[in-house]
Amino acid sequence: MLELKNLYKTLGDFKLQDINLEIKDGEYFVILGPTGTGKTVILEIIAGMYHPDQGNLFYNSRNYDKLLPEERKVGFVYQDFALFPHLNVKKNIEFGIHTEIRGEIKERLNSLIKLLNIAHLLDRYPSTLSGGEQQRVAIARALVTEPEILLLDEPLSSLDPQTKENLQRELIKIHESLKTTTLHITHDFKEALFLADRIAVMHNGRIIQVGTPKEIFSTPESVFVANFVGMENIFQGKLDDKKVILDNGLEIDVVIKSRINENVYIAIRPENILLSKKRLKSSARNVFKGKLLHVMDQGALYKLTIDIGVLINVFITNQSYNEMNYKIGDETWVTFKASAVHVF
Amino acid sequence: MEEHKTGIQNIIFSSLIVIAIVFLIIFIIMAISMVLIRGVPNLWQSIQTEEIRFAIKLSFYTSITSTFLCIIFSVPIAYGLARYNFKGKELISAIIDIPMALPPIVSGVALLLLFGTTSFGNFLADNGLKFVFTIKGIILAQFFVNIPYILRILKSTFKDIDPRLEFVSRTLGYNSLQTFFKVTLPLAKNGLIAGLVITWARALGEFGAALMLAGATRMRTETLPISLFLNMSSGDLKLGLAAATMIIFISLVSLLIFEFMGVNNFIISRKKD
Repeated sequence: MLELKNLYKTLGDFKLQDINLEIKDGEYFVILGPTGTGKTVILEIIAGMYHPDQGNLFYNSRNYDKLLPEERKVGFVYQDFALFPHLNVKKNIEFGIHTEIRGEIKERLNSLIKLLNIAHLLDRYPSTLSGGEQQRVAIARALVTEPEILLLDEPLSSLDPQTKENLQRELIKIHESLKTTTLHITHDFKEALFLADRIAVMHNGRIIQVGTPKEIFSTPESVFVANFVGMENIFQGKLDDKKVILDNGLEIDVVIKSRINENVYIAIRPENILLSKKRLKSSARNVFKGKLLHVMDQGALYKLTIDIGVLINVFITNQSYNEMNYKIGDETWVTFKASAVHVF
Repeated sequence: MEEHKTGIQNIIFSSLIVIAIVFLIIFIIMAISMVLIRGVPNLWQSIQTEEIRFAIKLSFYTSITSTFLCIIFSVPIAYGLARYNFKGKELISAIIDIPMALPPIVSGVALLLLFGTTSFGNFLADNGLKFVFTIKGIILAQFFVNIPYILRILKSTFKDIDPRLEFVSRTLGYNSLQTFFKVTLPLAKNGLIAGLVITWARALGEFGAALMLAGATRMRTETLPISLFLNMSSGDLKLGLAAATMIIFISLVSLLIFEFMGVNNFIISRKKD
């Protein structure tokens, strides 16, 4: 287990504050946060490039902070891969092997080359490789030493969408076959959702929520996380028994044990809201009449904004949008279950 | 009318650029060919003379030795200045640049006073390191004048190397010294070669500082530029111009190598006194 305890670090404009994380052996852990929140600095502290100003770092109760980078067993993959330009792919991968390459080491090397599908690249130099190819070489180079922790710094963000999707699947495959404890950093929520066993969300140098992808996705604990995971409909109100009364008086039914008169936020995912031209007969307790304000074509989905006293965003498919034949200003009904409303 | 005027101004401006370029090119080529026209025909005959052969040998010996010393000192210093931030770094950089700002002849006087008049100089001389009016003095003068140049080149070379490459090497189990030899040095190869060539060429042409510290004694401290100076002074144009021609050839070749290595963003002024 890798433990970060009360880490603080100020580095130029970056400020890490009170970072506490426990990453279990074999876990695929993702740190999620917007660019410039100091996520990379965490990795660089774990790898030993910087010492924390305060706090401790343990790996299986061994004090990592006392070790030099070359004494820690970490594999590091940078966003732009940082392959050695003066060495070909083969030499890059073999770089971390300090002994003669034979026997078990040779087998491991060959199985990694096979796993990452880079056998055909071995004689080439990094500058002649595509982004995806460089990425696979960088991962092979990091894994060849059998690191205790694999650190991936935005490994997919500089790749095109197709390559990115393929590599995401490969990362899962690699992780399933090697079970290397992995700490992956990204600003892309979908990437985190797809890869992570657990996610930590960072904002302004602090970790503001840790949980499984499902927990982060459906029960964000702050407005920032709710926004980041695409909740879209976030409103402030007062909790009153099984209702939340929004600032403008609108009452929303929720499922929660009463915490009367508490100030809360509610969030409703846009895909959990039904739209209809007539009032639906449904068990859903939140039914509102509204007016269509505007429509945004987002490719597979349309995002419709409805005024029901507050502005509420709803996703509907291309097909439903065409069938319903909406015009701006049309009257429409908005329906959602009390259980679809997340209160925090 | 206004349009017409603009058009004329454009033409005048372009013409000015062309005229300035043509004038400068002709000026440089004419000046150099004056030496070459008179120097080349006598070159072979001059090389046969004992004096020129001595000057060639001494020039190569001193310039290669001083370049080697420059490399030994500049690699660690340049790396330290390029990679690490520490208190007083600006001040150190400024002090290191001083010999570059001084005319070499002034550097020579400074060295002469240090090694010729102080007990420190006497102590060194008593222990076999006599610099005043000796070949060792030539080497030291070349070193003193050239070290800022090679430091500049190497500093910028090391700065261009992504420190994260070194860091990846650390995570792959190599300490900082091993990393330096396995990653940094191979990546600095072009800059090192360029620095080496330009330093060597500058050392070969070094005159002012060497003149002051080592003197201009025929067949004793006579390098190619000193030979040029001595023979021009005594009116032996043939030998003087042969020495000048050789320096020109060596300089041109090293300039070509320097350009070829793709390192052309450095100040490579060759201040003559």
